Amino acid sequence: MDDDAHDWSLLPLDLLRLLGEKLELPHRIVFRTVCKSWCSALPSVSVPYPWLLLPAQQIDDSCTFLPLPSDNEHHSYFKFSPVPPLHGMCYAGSNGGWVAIVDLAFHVSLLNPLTGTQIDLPSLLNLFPCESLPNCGGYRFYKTDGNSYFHELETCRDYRIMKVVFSSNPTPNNYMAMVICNGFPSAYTKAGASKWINLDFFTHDIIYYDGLFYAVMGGPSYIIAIDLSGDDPIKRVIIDDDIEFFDSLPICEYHYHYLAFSSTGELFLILRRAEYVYLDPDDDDDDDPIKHETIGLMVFKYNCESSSYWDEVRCLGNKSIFIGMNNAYLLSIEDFAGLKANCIYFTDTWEGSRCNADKGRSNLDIGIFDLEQKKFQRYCLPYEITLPPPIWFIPSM
Amino acid sequence: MIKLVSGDGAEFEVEEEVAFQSKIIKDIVADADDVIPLPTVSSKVLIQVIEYCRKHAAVNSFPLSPSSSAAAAASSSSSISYSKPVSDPALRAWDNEFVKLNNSSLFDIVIAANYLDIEELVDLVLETVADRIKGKQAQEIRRQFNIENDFTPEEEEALRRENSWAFQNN
Repeated sequence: MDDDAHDWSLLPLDLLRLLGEKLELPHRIVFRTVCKSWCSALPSVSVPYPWLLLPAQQIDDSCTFLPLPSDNEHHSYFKFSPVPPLHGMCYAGSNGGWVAIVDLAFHVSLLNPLTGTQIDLPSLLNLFPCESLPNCGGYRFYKTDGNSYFHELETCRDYRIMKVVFSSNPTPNNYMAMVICNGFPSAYTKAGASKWINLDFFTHDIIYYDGLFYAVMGGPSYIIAIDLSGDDPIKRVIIDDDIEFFDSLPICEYHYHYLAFSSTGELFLILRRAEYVYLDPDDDDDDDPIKHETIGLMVFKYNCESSSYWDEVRCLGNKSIFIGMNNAYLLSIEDFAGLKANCIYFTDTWEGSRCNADKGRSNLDIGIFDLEQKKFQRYCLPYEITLPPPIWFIPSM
Repeated sequence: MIKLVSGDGAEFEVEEEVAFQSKIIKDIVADADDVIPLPTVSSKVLIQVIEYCRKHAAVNSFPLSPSSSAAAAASSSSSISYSKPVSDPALRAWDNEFVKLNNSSLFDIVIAANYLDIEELVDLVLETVADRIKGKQAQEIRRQFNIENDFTPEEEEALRRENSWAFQNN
């Protein structure tokens, strides 16, 4: 039978086009590499990346990838239906093409949304002094004074888990992960461990780089490295000094620190200041903010010979930084088409997205900050989003 | 009754509602006689296409298919709900069985269905083929669909570079 099998490159072009249009983006790209006639059936789908992974719209199980917006194409985006479906999942972190997702029962998985490959981590539930109340749809949390209070499933997950940070290119037999919790110390787990293990310290931000985790403890003056490869975690102090750290951003209540590494191992600190925006700024009684918005960003580079350890960086050269719930990236425009140089690409902070969720609004704090011109360009999203906040990731198949 | 004549001269008598699943035949019959030659369709393929049309004509001609009538009666809705082919689970199951064919047979059927303008059948076959393409590498797709790689190495490299993320293996 196969001797006279039809050559599918000869299928009429209109049928090939209909066929290609039935495929989702990653498969369309492969479709175009099969042969010339298949290639001509579909338009080129060159997509700049990294992508912003948006949560599923409620009507279906697809999620949306928003490529970097160019000046004339603010609204182009791509839908994709990952297996397993992501609806109802919270995105808690990302590293490269992998995203950490958490369900309502605190089960954590690392997922490559394009291939559907999934690695299940232990449940985070054992980190909290709480008891599951399945019939009431929530958890009873115990305070240190013996009193207790009730948390709904979603509130509990969305307010306790701030960020999951994990090693690059994880496999079921080889991964390490840390979690930043709201109101509880950080914890870690790794391949072979049956549960998450509490650490005795709190962290503001963690990044994984080249085998180690690096944590911002109290701000620019207290940075540590954590080695999880042995039987017990080993802490090494990078900076623990009373340093003279100066920044020129307007003073406001909310500031965030992120760590990032360049591909050659230079350590960067990104300072982000944000504040709540009110409908009527002159009304002192207005306690109903409409959004949480970034008002300034600065970048510093670690320099062990400088008295403050941190030198301000005004020019990143041909590079740009991506911050948010992701393992921060420092990417070069030569490797990533469509990327603007010397910019900070930011997505919402944990606080900002909770504010949106509380108010049921979709004023997300997402955009690009040009370091040289000190100018913001805000993103428009294709549909209303509250939780989870969109997250950067670098697609890979 | 309408008489369809395949490319190899075989004649098939079918009811109007079966033949009218094809929009082309419906148009031809409106202004011509009832013998319709289909020179590009072989009898083997025509038998399969008629089988599909017969099944769909039977389901489409009744407001409710036997399997869904009980459910509709139970819902006691005041408006009559007509079963759509795609939403009828029994018909969908039948369709899924119908397309359990090798790629070469599906090629013949989709060409014939396209020629006869049977939109649902074209869609069904392409949906099936798309499922067979998903998740496979280009080389595997070429093998299964009997396609020669006619790109030069330079062209192939340029295409891969266009979306290098899709071809990274990590």
